[in-house]
Amino acid sequence: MTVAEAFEQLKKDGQAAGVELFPGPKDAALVVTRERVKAVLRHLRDARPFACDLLVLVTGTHMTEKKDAKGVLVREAGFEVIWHLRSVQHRSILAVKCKLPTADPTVDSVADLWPAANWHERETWDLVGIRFTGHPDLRRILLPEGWEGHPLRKDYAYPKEFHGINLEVDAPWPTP
Amino acid sequence: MADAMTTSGAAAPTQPAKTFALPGDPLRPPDTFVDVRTQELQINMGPQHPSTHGVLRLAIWVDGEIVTRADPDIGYLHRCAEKIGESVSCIQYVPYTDRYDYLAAMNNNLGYCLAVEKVAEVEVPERAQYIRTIAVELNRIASHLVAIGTYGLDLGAFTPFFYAFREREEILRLLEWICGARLTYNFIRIGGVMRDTPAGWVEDIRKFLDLFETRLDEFNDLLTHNHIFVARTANVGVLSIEEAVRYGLTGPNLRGSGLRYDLRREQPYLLYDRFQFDIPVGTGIKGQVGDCWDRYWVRLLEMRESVRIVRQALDQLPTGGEIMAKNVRHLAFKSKAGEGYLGIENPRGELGYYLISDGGANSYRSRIRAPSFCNLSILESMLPGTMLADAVAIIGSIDIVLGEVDR
Repeated sequence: MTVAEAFEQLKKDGQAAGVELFPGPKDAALVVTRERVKAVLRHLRDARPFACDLLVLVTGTHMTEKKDAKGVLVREAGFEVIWHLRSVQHRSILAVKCKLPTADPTVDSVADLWPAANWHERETWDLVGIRFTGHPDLRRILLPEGWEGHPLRKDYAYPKEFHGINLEVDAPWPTP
Repeated sequence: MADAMTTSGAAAPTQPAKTFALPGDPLRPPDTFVDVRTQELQINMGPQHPSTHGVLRLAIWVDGEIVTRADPDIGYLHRCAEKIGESVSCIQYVPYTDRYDYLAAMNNNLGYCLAVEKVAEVEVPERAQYIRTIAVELNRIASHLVAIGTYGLDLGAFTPFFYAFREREEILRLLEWICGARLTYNFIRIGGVMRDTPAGWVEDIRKFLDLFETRLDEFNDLLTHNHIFVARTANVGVLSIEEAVRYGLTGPNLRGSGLRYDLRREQPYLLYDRFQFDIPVGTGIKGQVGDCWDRYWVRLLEMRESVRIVRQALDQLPTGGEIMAKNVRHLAFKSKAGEGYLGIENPRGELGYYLISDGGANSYRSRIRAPSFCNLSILESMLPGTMLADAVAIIGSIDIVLGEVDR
């Protein structure tokens, strides 16, 4: 099932409220509003035509504003979360996308729908700083507890030291 | 998280007292029962522990010898893979991908290059695709040999480890011959491969495959039907298909549970639709479907299928022809704007790269779907209820590479 077919099927099922089709340039995706995203994901998992039982990946991206040479906006500022879902039966892969405002990157957790989402959401919180409400245990997973900031944000400032360890790249070598 | 080696709560027993009979104790009358109180204890396993295959730390809560809860703690090998992916160009990033799953570096190269080629619309010449297939499948055999050898090692079988590494050494020699490195190959490049096959390489692979097929049977004598090995792995860590899919398991771990799901067949990339091969699944020969032995057995059978694929690829390998795409200018490579996800079948499961490009030399976002990361998360669900000694058998059967878990 392609993403366009999935969009048509969602319309038939009466679940297309708040869903738009992102046609590409390369991979198409379903763009869902923040309020509807969990209901749509649940429908994609449970409804028989989709049967997306395998959650492949949860990605968070920090988007900064970008304009092309003519001053036309080509990338809006904000956050994007993408869920890649596979259906084992139908041999298909679907991408569902949700756009979040810069000031409040919060979205519903799907860890209760797919336990696989648990660690992906923890990693997204750790590195990108997107908060998943309803997650059973949202704490850092790769970085140590007590780390400040979220490194995959584009405005991330590298720390100068961590627990007394000097992290400055061009710091002089300590004399023995 | 609490410190290691501490009892949870106060000194008072947290579990109700259990009574056990002590049979044949000459000092007591035969009908006496003794109170044996158990107390929940948190123990720390790793990050320096031989059976964790790297720097994995597990906090395990046990009641007697039964695991009640397990909490994997990862991140000790975190090297900011995705941040590096944004700060260097696509061409420069290929050698970094070697370092994630270092036992299957060819597969990592391939996953990244295919994703970039998808976004940048690069057409790869046919000969390069065959060379890629040969290299990737040889690397898959080498990776499974490490998985099987070290799995035996975890469970106390020392000898199979040497047999596995003897065969792996041959494969490493063949791969070193073609690209000069034994582990971090950087051989598959965006648009093709680094260099053409050296003279005599193809013939040597054929010789090796003939020898290797006979030697695969040695593993059956040494390990597969070994009574102790079967006792440690059969009916241990049984995983149903539903549970495996819910936790996003892929690769041999999913197939060990009986689901015939392989991306080489489901969504063929490279030239896999031209080859004939079977997808082995666990059938519960020694115990139940989806136990540790099944996962081991699937890996062993997969090596035989890889041998078949390499043979066919060698037969079909076109003589002469380009090995690098014409339209890739490596010094000034710029991807097209767009975003795309591409997953391939790594020896450990689905390895995927999700790339967002804004038309520059660097990716705007390069997200890695590491199979070991997803496979490891099932420990929280698998370990509770098992014996502590079986925890080692279960972790080994999942076959993780920590370089990929932490990235």
